[in-house]
Amino acid sequence: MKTIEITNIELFQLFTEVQIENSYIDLHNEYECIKIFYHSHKKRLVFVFENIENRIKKVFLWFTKCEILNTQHLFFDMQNALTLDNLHRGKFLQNNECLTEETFDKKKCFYLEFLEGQFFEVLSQKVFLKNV
Amino acid sequence: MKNLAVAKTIFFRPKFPIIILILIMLSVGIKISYESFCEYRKINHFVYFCEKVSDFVKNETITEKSQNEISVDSFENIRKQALEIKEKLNNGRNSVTIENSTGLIRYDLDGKAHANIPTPHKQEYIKNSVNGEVKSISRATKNPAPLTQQDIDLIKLFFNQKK
Repeated sequence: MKTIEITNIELFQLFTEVQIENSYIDLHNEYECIKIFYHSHKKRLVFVFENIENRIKKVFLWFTKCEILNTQHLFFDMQNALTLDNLHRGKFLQNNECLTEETFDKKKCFYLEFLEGQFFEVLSQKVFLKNV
Repeated sequence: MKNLAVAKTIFFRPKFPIIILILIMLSVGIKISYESFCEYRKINHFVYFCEKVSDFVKNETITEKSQNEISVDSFENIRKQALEIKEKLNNGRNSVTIENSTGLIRYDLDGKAHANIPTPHKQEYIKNSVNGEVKSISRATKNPAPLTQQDIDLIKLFFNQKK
């Protein structure tokens, strides 16, 4: 079990594969998202992924001090697992004027898109990934 | 003198101009028919050429059609090559992403099927811009597309250039 921080991943690069210790975790091909929840008090958005072949293996992806800018997902509708298509860091429109990488309180913008159509555009101060 | 007399009898016979005229007409006729024969041959060649072109186009269409049907053999061949790339060039990783001028293409060499399209397949992404500046990237198509031999060659080239 290990936690890594992925807040500073490269801009506009697909991030679905990650190396934790000696193993590669492929969230697109080998895992599926089984739960998504948002703690409004802690402002934490959590995604739980499960390995397709070995259901015990799980990966947690969470965004701290998070602000959801845009989404197309019904949080209570998780009857079917979702396949993460892409996760990347991008820019966002500040005050509807100019594109920025970071807010004044050091939040960065992340985009998550699932094959089934759901997507999230979030601002977050720190992003972590943990394999269990 | 005798020869001169013979010549005179030939050239100054009253029917001689008619014979000359007939000869001229015959030669003109032969020329015309020869030209028409050539024209005919040209047309025939053209028709033959057109037939060949149409046959070629027909065959190409058939080949294209059968290529689209992705035979089991070619799919297995591409899959085998994709797995080879995964192990030998991509450190055992399932995917490789290549950037181009318009966006990115992720090639899934191995892993589960997406939208009923088995691996190896590819997914294209486009860059979304605001006022000429890139904001994010998103899928260019809803579903991935199966990998072709051209894609395999491109991936190999990508790794060769990286070396």
